[in-house]
Amino acid sequence: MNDATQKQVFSLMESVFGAPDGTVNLETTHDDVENWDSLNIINLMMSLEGAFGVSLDAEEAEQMLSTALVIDILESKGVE
Amino acid sequence: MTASLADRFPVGHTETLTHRVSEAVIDRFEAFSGDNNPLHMNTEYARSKGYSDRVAHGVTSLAWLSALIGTRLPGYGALWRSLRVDWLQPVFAGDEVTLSARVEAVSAEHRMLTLAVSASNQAGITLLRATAEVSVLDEQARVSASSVSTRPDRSRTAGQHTETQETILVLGGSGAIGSAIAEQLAGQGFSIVIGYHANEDKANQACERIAHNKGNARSLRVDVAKMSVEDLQNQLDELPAEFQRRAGLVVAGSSPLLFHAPEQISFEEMETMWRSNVRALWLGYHALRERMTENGWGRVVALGTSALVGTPPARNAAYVSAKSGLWGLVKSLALEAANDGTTFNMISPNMVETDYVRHVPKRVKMVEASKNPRRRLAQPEDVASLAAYLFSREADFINGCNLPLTGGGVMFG
Amino acid sequence: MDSDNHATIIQKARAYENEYSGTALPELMLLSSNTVDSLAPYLLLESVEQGYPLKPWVGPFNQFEQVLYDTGSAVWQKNLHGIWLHLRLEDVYPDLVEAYYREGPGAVRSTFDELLDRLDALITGFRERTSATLLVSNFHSPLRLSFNIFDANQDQGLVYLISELNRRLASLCTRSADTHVFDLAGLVERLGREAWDDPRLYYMARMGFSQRVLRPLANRLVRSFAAARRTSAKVLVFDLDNTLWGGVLGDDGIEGIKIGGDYPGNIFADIQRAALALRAQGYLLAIASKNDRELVLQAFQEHPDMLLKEDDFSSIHCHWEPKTISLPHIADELNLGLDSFVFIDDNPVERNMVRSALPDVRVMELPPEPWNYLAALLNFPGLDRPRLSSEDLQRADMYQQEAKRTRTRSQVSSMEEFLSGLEMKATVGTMNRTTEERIFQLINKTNQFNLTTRRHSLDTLRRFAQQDSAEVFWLRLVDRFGELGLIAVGIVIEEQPQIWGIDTFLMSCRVMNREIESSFLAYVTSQLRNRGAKELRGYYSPTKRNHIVRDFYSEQGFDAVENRASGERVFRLVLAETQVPVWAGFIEQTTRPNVRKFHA
Repeated sequence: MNDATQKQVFSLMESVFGAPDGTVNLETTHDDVENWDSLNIINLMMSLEGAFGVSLDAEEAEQMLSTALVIDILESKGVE
Repeated sequence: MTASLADRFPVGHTETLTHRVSEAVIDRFEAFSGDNNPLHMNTEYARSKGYSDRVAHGVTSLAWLSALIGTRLPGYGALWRSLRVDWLQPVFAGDEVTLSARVEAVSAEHRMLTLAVSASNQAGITLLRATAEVSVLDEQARVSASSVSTRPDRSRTAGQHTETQETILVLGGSGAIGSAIAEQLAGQGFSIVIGYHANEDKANQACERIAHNKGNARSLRVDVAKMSVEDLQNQLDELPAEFQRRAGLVVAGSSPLLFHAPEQISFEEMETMWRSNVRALWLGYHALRERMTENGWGRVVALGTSALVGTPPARNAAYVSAKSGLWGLVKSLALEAANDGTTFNMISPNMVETDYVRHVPKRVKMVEASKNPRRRLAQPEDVASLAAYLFSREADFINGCNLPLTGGGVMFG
Repeated sequence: MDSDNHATIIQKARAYENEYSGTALPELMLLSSNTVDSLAPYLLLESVEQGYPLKPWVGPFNQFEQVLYDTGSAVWQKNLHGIWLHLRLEDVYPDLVEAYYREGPGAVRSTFDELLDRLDALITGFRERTSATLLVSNFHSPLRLSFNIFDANQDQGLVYLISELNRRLASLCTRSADTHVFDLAGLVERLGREAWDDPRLYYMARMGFSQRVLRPLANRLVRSFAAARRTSAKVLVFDLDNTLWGGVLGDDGIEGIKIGGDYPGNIFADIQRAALALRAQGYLLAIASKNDRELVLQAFQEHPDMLLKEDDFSSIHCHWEPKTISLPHIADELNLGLDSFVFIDDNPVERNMVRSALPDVRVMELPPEPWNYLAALLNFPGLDRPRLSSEDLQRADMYQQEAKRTRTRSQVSSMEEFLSGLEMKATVGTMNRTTEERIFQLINKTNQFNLTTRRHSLDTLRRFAQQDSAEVFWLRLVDRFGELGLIAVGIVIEEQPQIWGIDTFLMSCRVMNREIESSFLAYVTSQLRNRGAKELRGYYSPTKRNHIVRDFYSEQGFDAVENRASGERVFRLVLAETQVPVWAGFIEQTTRPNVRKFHA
């Protein structure tokens, strides 16, 4: 995934979780973010789908436990 | 009930111990005794006096005699009363010396043994003869010592390997977990036999790493699926003396995961998996049983899986059933064979980060790590640390346990 | 990032949340049988964009009765202005389709009876507890439980039974004050069931709808809620050229403009039809156009396809002066504030001028393509009206009468002459079942002639009406031009023995300047005197809108006794020392006098 797309993912995650700008990075996991809960995972899922035109399944939503996993999931959908 | 002294140490009962007298041993004796006689310390000087090499201090052999008495005959509870010794021939640096002690007389009244002692070198030349009187501590003390069926403390110095060292056969020792266990145990003073099936290079690399850290290891090709007990015993017997005090077994290998759906699984595939697990334990146990029983001390550790708890992962029927079988065998042995002083346990990690799971998708591993309360996958070293504990004196009463090693990712009970 | 992205909306909503954190926004509680959390940011955003900021919050999931009956619940500490009751058939009756086929339509009907009983109890319960507006979703047929493709072929098909359920829900809501059907079924139909449904989100998170519909759903909810709470627009001021017809009348001539027939005249014919439909709902139509007045009137009269006629307009301003002058003139003529005006003009320059010069006027944004005008008109939030009262339906006529009254005023020489010429007749009385809805409505929407602007729930009003130590008075008015309806309310409470406070005194602003307020106050005073009152206290609580009644009590002979720190002013009238105030004499009778309280 290229840097620009990565930044977009970080920014989407910051918006959804209400995290301050620049706090989400490649190392971020669900332990680091207060609002990383099931509701916001659904919100993140809808945001990613809208932003990248992908469709995520329920299992993938459950796997979104860290930035690295989110990116891995997007890459497996062909997001570059 | 405790056997009488004569029953336990019948006249004629013999124990032996082999050690190598390296230059380092001579140096160390000089260091603590201050006996710097050049006959011992200087090769040229020794040769000038007609000896082929530096001569070991004569008392050095008595140090190993102390070990023989204190740990084997009669072992714990021994109180050495007297010694009469004749030095017959010099011991040179580099000699391999075998000490032998034989019960000559037993005094039940005085709880005393009389031992006839001799030492010989690699050429069979008798080096010394001695007579020792050893009393055996009273019933209560003896019970407390012998009920802790534990191997002696190894006050071994790095780089020294003797026949007093317990040897552990690590089946599957070329794999990441097996070699981590082997290295850890070697670091604690055990001699290691790395049993491998196909990967000779990896097995040898593990041996080299152990040697580099002044440990003692050999590799041995063991086809756990087919090899007979006699074959394995013979091959073990052919190893040098410091690998002969066989006291432990680790079953760490398993045939590769195939991720087949139940309808795809052939019986051959099942059998391969079963043999790599259940037969490995059966084979190893039978090959080592006699020695472990003789020692009155043994440890068997098998590698299980946390998948035995709760819902197993899909497409792993062969693996899960083999590990279940392995656990069944561990339990049965723990019940029926532990009285001989050997304990049987299983370590059940969840996913360990090794080559073995290289075909598990990266995503699954990341998810597994993210969900784990410790937020990582298990490492081979985690397994090795727990194994090392099971091989310790302190773990004597742990038997028949399936020990979870999951970081809390799977909890038992 | 895409401005419609879910994350962007969450972020914007959060920013608004911070912006309004110090403001006590009206709160909208969402009570739903499925998960609606994701809707909340959309609602906040929509409400701000529609100029009616709300604080949406999600009530306990699927706990309608628990919320209602748990009086200790935090819910009741909130600044509740609206409650959305959203029950979905799939959630409350998962076995409905099976029951239909196993037991037949009768079983489904009795299930629906049960559901309506439940809703009735909920509506009644909430109505008694709060003055918040209730929006109750109606029902769409189950989204994913398939049924017979020939369902509609049966006179008792499931779809038919559900439409019957919706009709019964509507009449249930009509019976309760400020309770309205939220047309969820209509929205599902509008957006399509396929777009509505996201089985994945339902099974994962119990969400009853897809992400795609969050925006339109929020839009409709805010619109419905705002329409119920806000004064709706009253006047539609149209431009003419390329707005009510195609082409430019001055250039193209009467024969040349496009109205009726084929394209593009058919577009404008539909717009005229819509305008007529809005007029029939009580909206006043007016014209502000840069045109020659005579030519315009001629066009309305002579063009054969013209659907609108001169008489349909309450005011026609055709000249070459700016529209920013026309609009205030129309407002004066109709005696209405500019905040009740909607301005419709195809020319963006005109729209912007009105927007900047007259910020109270709601300016309808028209898309560039004429064929989309109609949709813009029909979806304009300012034209939503939750319930059409008989007064609404007559309003256009009433205001045309008002225009005639204004003209009459300019023809007489004194105010007395004008007032007597109106031939006003008033009836007065105390609140009962037939008047409570209108009184509740007036209390919650009157802003200008309103001394205290206290908003009471229907429940509170009913309590006042039943207590001996309180009373709710009203006044209804008719004059020679027509019926004006119930237009004034006074609520009095006995604060200490024989000392009565005027909790509420208000009047609809369309009957100002007729001295009705004095007469109504005199009536209330005399009723209290009969009751043994010795002293009356009046209160004025200033708001942004009610400065016109600042000196009302002073003018009525009350003494100012206190200015409170809150800005509230207190007045006193000692009845023993006071002459009965001017009695205009036009109050004819009290309908259904409250014998128990005042004539015992």
